[in-house]
Amino acid sequence: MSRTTTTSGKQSRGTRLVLHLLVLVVLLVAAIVQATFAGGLWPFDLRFSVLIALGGIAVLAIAWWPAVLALGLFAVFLPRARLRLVFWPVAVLAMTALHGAFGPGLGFVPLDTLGVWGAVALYAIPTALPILGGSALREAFFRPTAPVERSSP
Amino acid sequence: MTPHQPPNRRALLLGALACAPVLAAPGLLRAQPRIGALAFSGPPAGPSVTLAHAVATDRFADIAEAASMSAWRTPDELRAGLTSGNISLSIVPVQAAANLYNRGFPIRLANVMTDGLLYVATGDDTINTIPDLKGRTIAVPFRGDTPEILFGQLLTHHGLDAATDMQITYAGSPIEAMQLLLAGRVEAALNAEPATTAAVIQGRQAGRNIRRAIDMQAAWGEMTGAAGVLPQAGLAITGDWLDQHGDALPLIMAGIETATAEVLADPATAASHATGALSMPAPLLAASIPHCNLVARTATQARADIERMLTAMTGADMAAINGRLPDDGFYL
Repeated sequence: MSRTTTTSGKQSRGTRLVLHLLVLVVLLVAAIVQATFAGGLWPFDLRFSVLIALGGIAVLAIAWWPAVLALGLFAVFLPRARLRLVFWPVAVLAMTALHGAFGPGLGFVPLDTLGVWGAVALYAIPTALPILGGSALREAFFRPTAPVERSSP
Repeated sequence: MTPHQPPNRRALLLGALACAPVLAAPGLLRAQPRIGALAFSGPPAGPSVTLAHAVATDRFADIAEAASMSAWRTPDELRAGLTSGNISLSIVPVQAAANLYNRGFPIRLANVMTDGLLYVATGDDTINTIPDLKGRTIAVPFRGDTPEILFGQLLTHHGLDAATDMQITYAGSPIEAMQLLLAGRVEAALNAEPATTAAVIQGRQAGRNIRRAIDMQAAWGEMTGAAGVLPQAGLAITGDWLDQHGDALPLIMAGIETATAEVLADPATAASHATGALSMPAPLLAASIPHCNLVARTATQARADIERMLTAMTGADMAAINGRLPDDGFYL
């Protein structure tokens, strides 16, 4: 007797998009928390923390817009959600490498000053956002990938 | 004839009540009539935090029924308020107050509340002095206003010409200058606090090391050979107000002096008090206060610094202050 499970197409499109929206909210909240604590933005003012968090993301997105576009497009063409998830840390490392190579020329702090972990913290959320956007586009406009069948005894 | 009788208890009490106003007379005579509404104004910047904090902590409760602090947004708004009589006590750029006074407007300077809050901010490690700005792109807000005039004097002192030795981009506001710097469209920005602090905070969040590379106050001191202070703004008071309430001025000055010490000791609390009145975020104000050079010097004490600044920044004809330094009557 065999049991068949699917890894894709299990949830409805609407559910998957709502999940993307929830992840977006989590990412934005994380960005605000990071901006508040890393920037020492006290006494706490939510509007100012939001402004600084979004401003930081905007500055990075403008400076690295070709890379941001590429991340989004790449995410659109990755067929499975799990692959897009795995792509995120890879993209963060890639952005860290790009920062090391071209960052100072674009006015950013050199990587040896920022540190690898500093760079990872800097790019984690700004990298996740275009991947999430690409992923949402795929879920919204592409047909779900054919179910992968796994047989278990 | 009625026999003489000793005064009874009721008579003694009535007598004591009758004497009470007489006994209290010296106190009543000493007391000043309280001011109905003590309304301060100021720009949305560091020195206004001091006034907002003083109001919030009831520093003027002894002299006024109610005290308030509000912010004006543009020099035009300030001028309109002063001429219409809506603004009587305001933090004013010293140069603007001197110009108004020399043109016959009844206004006097009570004190100086900042010794300068101008900085050149940049993310470029190679910019550290005025000569380092040669060949660079620089954002300057408020064309023709105090910051640009001071900047121009410093450039001239170092043999630089703003028109040929650098590319100046005029920004409509300090925030716009900050955005140009963060976007990498200029290499440096001349800006006042708290806009410089905003650039530093935003830069940190975006992986850019924006710093106050040139302290304009120090550069100014180096140029003039005097103390590195730019008495940029102070409390100016209109003649009408002084005629009516001038006796209260020493108490107001004392309140401001105490408030200044408190603001410097606890910027976070002061920023919380000022955030509503100035419509500026508390964390930005708190981070900016240590760089605002807040002081509470009487105008008379600061006169030498004021005259040095006005002389240097207005040039030989002193056209910006109607051709001469303000006389004794300007300084309270």
